Amino acid sequence: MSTGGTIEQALWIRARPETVWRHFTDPARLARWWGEAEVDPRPGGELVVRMREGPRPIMRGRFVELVPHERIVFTFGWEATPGAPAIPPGTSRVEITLTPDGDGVRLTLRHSGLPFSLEGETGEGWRHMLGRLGDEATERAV
Amino acid sequence: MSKERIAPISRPAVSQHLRILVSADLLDVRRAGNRRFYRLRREGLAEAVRFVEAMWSMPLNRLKHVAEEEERMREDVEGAP
Repeated sequence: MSTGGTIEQALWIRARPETVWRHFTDPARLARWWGEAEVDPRPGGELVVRMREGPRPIMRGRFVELVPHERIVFTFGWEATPGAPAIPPGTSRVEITLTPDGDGVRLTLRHSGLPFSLEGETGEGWRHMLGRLGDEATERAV
Repeated sequence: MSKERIAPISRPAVSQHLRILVSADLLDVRRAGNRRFYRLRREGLAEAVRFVEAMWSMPLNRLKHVAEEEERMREDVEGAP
């Protein structure tokens, strides 16, 4: 799904880019901020994180791109979890960009391809998909 | 959309998808006899976006905290920057 909702967040961290980078590639450091993780930091490698937040979904993704200390891209989805909106594995994409800024680093997170957004167009996309589910259910019921 | 383009999906799978969407507050369900009618909740979309926003902002704030802590420890050891 190339279109879809996008979420962007940015924050400044008083640390070197390599320090922040390690927090995405080292399971012990990932566990300190995101959740218990299995990580294979190379293109195509798996990233599995047992998230601590809310209904504690298990995130499953694969690394797409790794530019040491600058940029990291992975696919993002979670296993169907009650209380969490559906984001099936492989459907959305997270891009992390690290830019040196003063005596720290600016981290930008862009999560795109989400199956929902506040924009009307994607709302229509949802409606379409739900319509398909409904059609299919009706056909099977006949 | 032509029906041929719809991937085969079993009724239990459809029911499971719908249950997930209802539990995520993206759909409302209304029962009439033995039928169920589903309605897209637009406010559910806003909640889904807020949900994912929160699922990032909380851990990212922890990331800031732990990365800054590691940097401070390094500076203490190495006398940097």
